[in-house]
This record gives sequence, C-alpha cells and structure tokens, in this order.
Amino acid sequence: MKESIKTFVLLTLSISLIFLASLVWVKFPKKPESPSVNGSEFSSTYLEREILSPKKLIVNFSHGEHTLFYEIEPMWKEYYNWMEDFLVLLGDEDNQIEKITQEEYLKAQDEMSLVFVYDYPWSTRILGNLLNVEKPKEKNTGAFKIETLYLPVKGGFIILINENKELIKVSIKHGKFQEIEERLEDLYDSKRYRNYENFWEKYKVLTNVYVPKLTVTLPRPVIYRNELAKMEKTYRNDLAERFLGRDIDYIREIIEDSGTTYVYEARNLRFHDDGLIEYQNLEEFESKEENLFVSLQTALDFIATRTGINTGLVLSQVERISTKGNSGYRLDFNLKENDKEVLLQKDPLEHYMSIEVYNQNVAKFQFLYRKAMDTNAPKDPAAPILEDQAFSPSGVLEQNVPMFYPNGTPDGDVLLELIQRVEDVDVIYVDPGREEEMTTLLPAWKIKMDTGTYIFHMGNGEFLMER
Amino acid sequence: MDWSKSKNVLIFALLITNIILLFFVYRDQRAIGDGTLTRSFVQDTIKMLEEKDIHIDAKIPRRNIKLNSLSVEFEKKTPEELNQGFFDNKGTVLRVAKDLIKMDYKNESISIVNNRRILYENRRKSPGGKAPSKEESLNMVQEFLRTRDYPDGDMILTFYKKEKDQAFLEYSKTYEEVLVESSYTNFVVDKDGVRSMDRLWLNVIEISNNDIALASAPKALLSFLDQPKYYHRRIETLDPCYYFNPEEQGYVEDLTKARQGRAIPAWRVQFQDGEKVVIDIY
Repeated sequence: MKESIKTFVLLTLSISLIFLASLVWVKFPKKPESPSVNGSEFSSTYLEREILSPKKLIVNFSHGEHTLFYEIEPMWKEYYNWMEDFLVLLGDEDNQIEKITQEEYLKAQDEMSLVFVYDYPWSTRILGNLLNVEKPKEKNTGAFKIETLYLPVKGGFIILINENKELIKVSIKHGKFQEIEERLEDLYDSKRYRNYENFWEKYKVLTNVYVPKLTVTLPRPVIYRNELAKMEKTYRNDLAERFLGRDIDYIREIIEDSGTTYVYEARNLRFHDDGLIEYQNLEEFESKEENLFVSLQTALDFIATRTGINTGLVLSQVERISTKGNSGYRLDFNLKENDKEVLLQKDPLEHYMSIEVYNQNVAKFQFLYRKAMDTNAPKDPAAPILEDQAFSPSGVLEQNVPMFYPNGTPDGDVLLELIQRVEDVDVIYVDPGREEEMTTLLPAWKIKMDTGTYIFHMGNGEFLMER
Repeated sequence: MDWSKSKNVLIFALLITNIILLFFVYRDQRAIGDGTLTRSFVQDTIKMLEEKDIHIDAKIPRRNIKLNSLSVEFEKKTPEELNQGFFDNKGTVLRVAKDLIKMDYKNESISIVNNRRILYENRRKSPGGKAPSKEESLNMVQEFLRTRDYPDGDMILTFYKKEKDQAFLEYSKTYEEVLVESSYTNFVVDKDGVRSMDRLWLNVIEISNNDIALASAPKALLSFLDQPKYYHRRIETLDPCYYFNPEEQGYVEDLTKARQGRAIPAWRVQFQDGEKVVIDIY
C-alpha cells in the first residue's frame, strides 16, 4: 500500500475514533425544562402560613386598653414560636382541663394577653402538622378545634374557644410565652396603636367583640379589575401551560366569543372573558379516605404553582365531598386586600376560588380572577366617604333595626338587644361583582350574629347582603 | 524506525477500536430508539389488526414524524356575501334561529349553521341516467367553485364514489401538502351539475415555531384494537394531518360557537367506505 494512502486511512480512522468516542462517552448537558411549565418557581409556603394564621390578633393590655391587628405577616416568626410553645404545652399529660363561663373569660381580657381569632377552626393536630411542630398527644387535647386562642402573658393557663363555642381553660405547668411580655410592654409604652374596646366594657353585655374606641378607620380604597380581560396572549398561554403541564403547542385551543378552552388529554381549562377560570381533570383516580391535611397541602400547592398566587387568600369554607366512591374536600377561598377579606356581592359565585381535592388529586378548580390595580386607587369621587362620618358597627345596627324585626320593632332598648346578639365584627371589602370590568371595592362591616352574618356599607350604613 | 510498519500496526489498532465503539453506539441507539418503529413491530401490528379483521392497504411509515401546530379559524361568510356569490343578490334571506340562517332563490337554497357550516342544495328534477364520470364530476365541481368565488388551491379530493345517477366527492383542506382536519367540502353531483355542497372550512392564521413529535404510526393504529366499531374494515390511507375539531376535542359543554383555535398534529386514517378517523395521541 502506498504510504500516502496509509496516512490518509490513519487520519480517517483517528477522526472516526474521536467522533465515535464522543457519541459514547460525552454527554451534552440537557436544556433545563421551562420552570413555567412545571411551576417549580412558585411555592405554597407563604400561602400555607397565611391560611394557618389567625384572621386577627387582639392585644389586651388592661381593662379598657386593647388593640386589634389584621396584619399578622410581620409577626409570623413570633407567632410561629408562640404556637410551637403552645402546642408543646398542650401536649402535656398533666394538664388540667375545665370549662369556664363567659364572664370568667371576659374578666380574663383585663389581663395582659394575646387573643388569636381564626377564620377556620383548625384542629391542633393539623396546626401541628402544618407548622411542623410536635403535635399534642391524641388522648389529651389533640382533638381540639380552635376558633379562638387566648394566651395570657403570665402563663399558667390557656383558654380555647372550640368550634362548638365552648370555653375551655387548660392549666399548664409554666408557660410564660417567649418574649410576649416584653413586646407588649414596648407596644403599650409607644402608644402606637389604635384603641379598641369590647362590648362588655361599652354596653355591659356578655359579648367579647371589639370595636374602635373613637373614630372608625376606613380601609384603603381598592379598585378591582378583571385580570383576564386585558391579559396578553403570551401570558395566557403561559397560564394554560402551567395548568395543563404541557407546552402550549401540544395543547388544543378553542376560541369562542365568550372565552377560550384549552384541552390536554383528560384535563381541560377554560378562560371566560368575564374573568372566570375553570379547570377540570377527568382522569381516573382513587381516594378512599379523606385527609384534610393532605388535601389542604395539595390544594395550596396547586393554587400557588398554577395561578402564581402565593398570598392574599382566606379559607372561607371546608366541605366534605364524595364522587364515584372517592372522598375528598371542597375548599372555598376568598381574596384578601390589605389583610381584610373581600366578599363578592352581586355575582353567581359566593367565593372567588373553589377547589375540589381528593388527597393528592385536584378534580376541579374555579377562580374568578380579579386583582387590585397597581396604582393607588382614588376614592370614588361620586360617593366620597369621610372618615369621621363612617358608621360604627352599632351605628349600622341602629340604622337597620327594622331589618331585624320584620313583624314590627318591639318596645324597649332594641339596639342593646341587637348588640347582645353580636358574635363577631370584622372590617371587610365588598366587590360588586364581575359585571363591570373594573369596580371600586366597598368598605364594609361584617357582623356575625346568632341568626346569620350581615354585611353593611361602612360609608352609608346600608345593608349590602347576608352570608 | 520503520514508519510503514508502525502505520500498519496503528491502522490495525484503530480499526479494532472503531469497531468496538461502533458496537457501543449501535447498542445505545437501539436502547433509546422508538421500538415501535422497527420492522418486526410493524409486522406484529398488522397481524394483531388482522386478527380483528382490520386490513391495511396503506403503507405504515417507519420514521418519527414532526409537525408544527397551526393556529386556524373557521371560514366565515356573511349571508350578503353568499347571496351575492350564489344568487347574484336575488335570494331571500331568513334568520330562522340564532344559529341558523336560510337563503332561497328559485330551486336553490343555502343554510348557514353556527355561522360557519354552509349547506347548499339544488332541488331541480333529477336527470336520471348514469352518474357522471370522475373527470366530469371534477370539472363540474371546479366550475361550481370558480363561479361562486371559492378558491380551490387548498382543496384535495380525498374520496370519490358513484351511486345510481349521482357521484359523491369529498375534499379536505391541505396546508403545505398536509391535510387539515376536520375541514370538508362534500359534493353530490349528477349529469346536470352540482346538486349539493356541504362545507366546513378552516383557514390558517399562523404556524408555530416548535415541532411536535407524533406518536409512531403503529402505536396509533393499535388504538383500533379495543374499538369494535372499527373491526371488519379496510384502511385505505394513513397520513399525518393537522387536527382541529372543537366538538370532538372539547370536554366542555357547547363548543358550537368556536371560531378559532389550535390545530395539533395527528394521524388521519381513512377507511375504504370513506369514513375518516383522526387519532391524536403523542
């Protein structure tokens, strides 16, 4: 063989060797999957915190000196520590448990203490699980469902109000909750809080409901907007990809005059032009035993990863459901603005968000996608509400007395009678609904009474709706 | 040093190494390759289908097929445009229901269903005799479309049959030589010309940039095995297509008002009797 041919063969074989070796041994790094598709960029941690947090915190300094906070997030770390201490203490087998009277509980409000009031009566077992702290022993107090939790600074006992409105005093060995006293004394000395009084002090009725002592503070004005109406196609596609877990090119898209439907395998998603998002998964699954803890985690994870919402939700209702032999929960949520719940008024839906979850499986999800506009909303010039003219809770009751007595107002102090029937009072917003693309939220009083929950406009005292 | 001898030894060593590496590459490729595209898998598929009396006359592609998705919209013609194109503006337009408009002129009528499907009918007396030949039918259809302002550049004849004195022709839309389902323009023709037309057509708005890999053809065909309604049939064609059919694809209630959407690549199977089935699996 000629030398030049040999050299050529040698070179060819060498090149071929390098090429083949690269195929066998060199692995090129793979392009990472788009985070928007698998949703890993969104976490449900904050949402979990928020759902577990109390809706409000009442701080009692002494008789006639109280304040109230809706904003719990800044003190989450402390809250977590207190709850950890509380749950550990509650687990002690030597605790003494007794039922107390409303009068005893009201007297306890004169002591320096913290009162947590929850939207949903969480069981101590679920709180322990979700807060990742040691859960109390079953045989002791594990089955408590807490609606209100009273923690005295001096320790020695805890008072719980359970879902049946029973006042339960749990005597504990020590229980000086970390840092509470210091923090409360600092706050008291600073006087940087709004003064509240309870109906017990104001009207001498056996009701532990707190209202502002002097003037009513109106919540910041907020304008809500249908978030889907003006959403660009790229964002819509991204949202559809997150819900259906597939690249948009694989997702069927059907556009109608009233909205768009996306279909991928057994999952479908519909964006209505009026802002409603509906998701359904028709895949077969098995969930024979319901588990609220697992279902709640699945739901919050779904909400966070699909919608990108990781704050601003309040759990309004939990209902057991079953279908095709499977058991699960329907969880209804409302939105929150400035830490206050927003309720829908003239809308076919009662809640902004509803999710049907069977342990790890989400079967249905519905969300009226409305969001506060970024700009500072101006007060409605057509109907300005002046702070000093805003109605107090007793003011709205006084204005609406006939509503509570359809057969005629009886003689005597009817207002006092109504005040005695009040169980809770909260400041909320009311959204007139999705008929308009943009709506100004109405500041309102949500007054829970023995016969139902009534919502009144803070500005003009008008009755808005019953829930 | 004997360079020539050294070269011989090196060539021999490199040759052996290359052969070993080739073996590893082949083994890796086999492991990651689509097993459903092998000759033996295709043969097994044919056999399994034949056991259910499903016969395949079409060639089964043995390669991975990738297509883009298409953004499509339903062709929409206003009653005025149709009145002008078909009846020289002399037809009487009647809005029968929200989703049904009818138009009449002498023996002819047009119905517009859901603002997108067009049904044309000519109720003239049947001429009897033999059905027109395929060539005659094609010419009549072409003339019909031309005079009524319908371009035929994107239409392809997918089915033709004669029955008594009539011929039946079915056209589908193509986009860059790939069929777009479920769009159709179906004609019934006799010696005197077109008797009826049924048209639901799609127009392409844009094409996506990403390729979508279709499931292999044998995999798609195997989906017939558990569907007895396709037993005892003969498959005539098997082609990739774009698929948009809101009523079939949607899981939600009423999609008759769909106006546009995304057509996804799928396999289109046509049986000998003209029935078309689209298999959209990935």
